[in-house]
Amino acid sequence: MKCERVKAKVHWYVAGALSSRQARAIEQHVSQCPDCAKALAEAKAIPQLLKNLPVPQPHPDLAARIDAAVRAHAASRPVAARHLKPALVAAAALAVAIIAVLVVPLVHRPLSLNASSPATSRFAATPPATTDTPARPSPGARTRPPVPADSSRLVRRAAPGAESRARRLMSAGAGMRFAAAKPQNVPAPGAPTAAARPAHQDTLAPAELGCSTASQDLRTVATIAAAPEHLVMASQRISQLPTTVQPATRPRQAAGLTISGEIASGLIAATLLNEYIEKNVIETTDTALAIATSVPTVPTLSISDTAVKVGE
Amino acid sequence: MRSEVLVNSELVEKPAGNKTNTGAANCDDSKLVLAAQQGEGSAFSALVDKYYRKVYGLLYQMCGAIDAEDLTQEVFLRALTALRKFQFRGQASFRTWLYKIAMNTAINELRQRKRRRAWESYSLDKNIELADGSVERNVPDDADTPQDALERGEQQAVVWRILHALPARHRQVLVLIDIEGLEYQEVAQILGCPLGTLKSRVARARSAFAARYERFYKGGTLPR
Repeated sequence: MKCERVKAKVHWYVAGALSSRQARAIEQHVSQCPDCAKALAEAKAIPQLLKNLPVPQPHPDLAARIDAAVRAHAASRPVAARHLKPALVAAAALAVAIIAVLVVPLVHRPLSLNASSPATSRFAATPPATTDTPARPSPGARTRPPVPADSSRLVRRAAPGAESRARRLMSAGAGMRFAAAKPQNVPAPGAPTAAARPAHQDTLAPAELGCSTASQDLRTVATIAAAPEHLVMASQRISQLPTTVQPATRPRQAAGLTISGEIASGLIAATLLNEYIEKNVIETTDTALAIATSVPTVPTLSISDTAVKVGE
Repeated sequence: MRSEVLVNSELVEKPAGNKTNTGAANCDDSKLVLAAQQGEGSAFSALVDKYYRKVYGLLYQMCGAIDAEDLTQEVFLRALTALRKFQFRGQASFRTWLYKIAMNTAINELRQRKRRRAWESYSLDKNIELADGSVERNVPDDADTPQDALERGEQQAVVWRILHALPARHRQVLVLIDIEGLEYQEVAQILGCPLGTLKSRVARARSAFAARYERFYKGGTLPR
């Protein structure tokens, strides 16, 4: 083996990267060549040179700082979310995907009104369950509704009012479903809405739910940061949804209203997946849970109510 | 699963380099990790206690002193977030896993710095354009000469600066193997590469280091 070749290979020899045959050839050469032996000795000295670098010492309070950061980080994560079963998460994700496929053609279609419309005004004029309910964001706005500092207080106040609103929504839902069989009762786009309707009429058109478009409704729902139990509830409700819903065979508005509960459930699940599993963000508001539990026999509707509640 | 934990806990008990002597640090990693996975905060604190100096050392050698503490904190937060997914499987130990997070964090940081530098840099060779013509840009060369460094007896500073002038992939293996004294097997797991590839990388990194070191002592300048 020539000297140049040996010198080029000494680092590979020291690192043990040569085959045994090549290593033996180098050992044989350096035993007879002082120049190459010196090159090998220099190569062997490099690890030692690096090892002699001083060991850096962190600031004495680094451990305490890390501990504090870890505690703050852990405190921002819900206990239940940390222990959510992967199967549940997977089931919820699958349900969301299926629902998304069914609903995509519908969610891009405006239900009807914007914030300044008479129907919305009428809805806004309805006494809300709580006086400190956050204002509904303007159409297209993606801002998160402000979360009340004391969410438990909101829960106590929200539940009774939510129940009556749930009844109205149930009427609305029933009306729409009935309208599927009797098209004359279905409010057509541009048809008179709540403002033109007699005050005693208790059925609301979809537009009166306070959402300018279905996607706006969904975005509003998606901004809910709810308690982790909602994921369980949402996934359970997804599994309870009627499989007979055929959006294509129903009037769009009726189908949109019927399905809004499904969308809401799915999006709550998706939101929670993102919020808790990936970003580990939580801002607890029990509003949704309170409303949902106040009308336990109409789960789909209660989720719709949740959407409206938050969108107000 | 249980037996794996017990077997691997033996691996964890022989870390290279400095060992901390606190009671928590001597606890079995596997027990601490399992407890931390079940939400016990004190178990994770014990793991922090045991490893933060080593993680800090790695990040200091990779990224320098300025960001090492913040990056150490980031590593543990990342570890906390991903702890649920960690399992003692095969030859993997908590230390290997943690060092892998540390190395990824360091590489990300170095990439970001590189991007920032590229954004902020300007050509030193380019003349300065003025209204009445262009003038040559005179930038003082404040790089150390060998004499400067040797006069101050700063061989370690020379080694440090040459190390930091190497590409990150070279620095990585030198830090893990030559400075931290980890075994090839463990470093291969940390870097996610085959053993043979790792050995070649080590050889190439030492060769690059030696070339710069020799160049410096033959009258070259020290990288800034």
